[in-house]
Amino acid sequence: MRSASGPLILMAWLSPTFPVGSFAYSHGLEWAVETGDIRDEASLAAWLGDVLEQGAGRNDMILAANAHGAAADAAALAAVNELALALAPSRELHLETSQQGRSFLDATLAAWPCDALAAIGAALPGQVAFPVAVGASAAAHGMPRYDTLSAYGLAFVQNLVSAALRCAPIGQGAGTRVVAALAPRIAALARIVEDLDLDAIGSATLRVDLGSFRHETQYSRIFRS
Amino acid sequence: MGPDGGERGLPSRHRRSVDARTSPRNRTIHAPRPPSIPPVPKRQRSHGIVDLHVGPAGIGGPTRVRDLAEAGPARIRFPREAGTMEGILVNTAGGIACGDDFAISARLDPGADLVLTSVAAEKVYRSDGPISTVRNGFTLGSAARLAWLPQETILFDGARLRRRLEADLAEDAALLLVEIVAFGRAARDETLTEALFEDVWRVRRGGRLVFADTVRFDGAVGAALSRAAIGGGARTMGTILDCAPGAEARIEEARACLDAAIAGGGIEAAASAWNGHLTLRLLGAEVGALRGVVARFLAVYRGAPMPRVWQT
Repeated sequence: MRSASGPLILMAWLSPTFPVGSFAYSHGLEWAVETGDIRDEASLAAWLGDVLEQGAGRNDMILAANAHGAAADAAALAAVNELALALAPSRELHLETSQQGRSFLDATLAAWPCDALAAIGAALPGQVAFPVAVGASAAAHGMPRYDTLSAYGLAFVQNLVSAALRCAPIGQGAGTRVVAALAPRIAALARIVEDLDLDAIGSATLRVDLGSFRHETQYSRIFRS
Repeated sequence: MGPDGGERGLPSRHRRSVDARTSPRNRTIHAPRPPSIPPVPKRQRSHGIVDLHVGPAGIGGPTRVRDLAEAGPARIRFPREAGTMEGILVNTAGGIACGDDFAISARLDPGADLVLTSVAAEKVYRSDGPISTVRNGFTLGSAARLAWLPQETILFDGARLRRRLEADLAEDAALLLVEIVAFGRAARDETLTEALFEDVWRVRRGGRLVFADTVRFDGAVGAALSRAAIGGGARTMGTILDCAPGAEARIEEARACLDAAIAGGGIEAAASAWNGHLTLRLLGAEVGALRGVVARFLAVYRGAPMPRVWQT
């Protein structure tokens, strides 16, 4: 059943104030700033666009779509979650997805309880990947898949822009323009991936993965990834 | 060939497939065929199979071949050498092109110890359409050890390859995976502009998926690799995955080995460890330098020399 407050629930769940600690993660962006790969508005937009369309953004949206579709099937949902956790390409990116995913599911179970969500909580008792937690919870509350994916993609991008504002010489205005420029690409991507199955998973952002490795030993850092 | 290095009776699957592709391949880069020339006749696809089963001769004994099937242009040789059993894969077709399919599988009984490598770099040539496939499958019993150390895969412009590696490990089995991919070879003036390359790794331990990685490039790979988040100008990549018990705890040791192996520069590389395994990722401009780093790293990290075929 779809609640009239559906869009508001998605806004609440994917807001920076939702208690999953997303402010602590930069998805390797902090290392890209350290190396100078991200140094201004244009380089931020290019890096983020690739992470969105050829990296974790697209993969996460496919995982969220499949979790959404498997929300009522405990075994299938557990399989999506197992793949999502195994796909994390580094120690820090594994922490990023698993810590946020568990926190997200615990928060929604506590504040938005319903039978369908309780079943998801039972199907995912341990580590949960973030997009799986979001996709399955949204399905449990009757949120349409496309709305869920596009909202997830926007939150993903906004969180990284927020990280860039804190660690790169990039101002608020530039950050906002990057979000505005990427918003239609997020919407288009959500439309493309909403019916893709797990075989469509795949990434080309080799240097994001490698950068995440290098971030582990970065001398001075403020983010956990 | 059997473990004693001699030709031995092989199962009926063993057949020299008709391999019509003996003519020199088109190695010209960016040489579109003039429209006046008729399309090339449909080529015979190669289907290469190596299906290997090994196990120890008695408890704690040396590893021996239990069963082996070979088909098409895929072969495996076992040089007679002291130490760990080594299988050297050979592609008698000299490369992969146009819809070829290769399936390499190895089953290791409990306690078996095996190194698999390849006699030369695997070249993946331009395809005029069909996608080639490579399927590597490994099953490791309790306390079995497999080191997968193939030489590099070289993608030529217009290559189309889907590769899939699946490994099923017993809880205490030890798997080491190494893959190096060259996107063209700048040093030989072989520039890669466009390709399809998909590389899927799935590793299960005790039936649980513990590592999954899918790299996918489709289209303008050369331009993509120039982008900061993708290749940062790199034209070669390497990945090492150590799924041995205790691998995660070796992270500081691995970083020290890597620092020593890199010495000089030109290769961007780092290590990470989580969920019980350890991973290295490497990117560089030129495959020879990256291969050198991998070989120097592994020699120290494994505490064993690289297979002789690597030392050229």
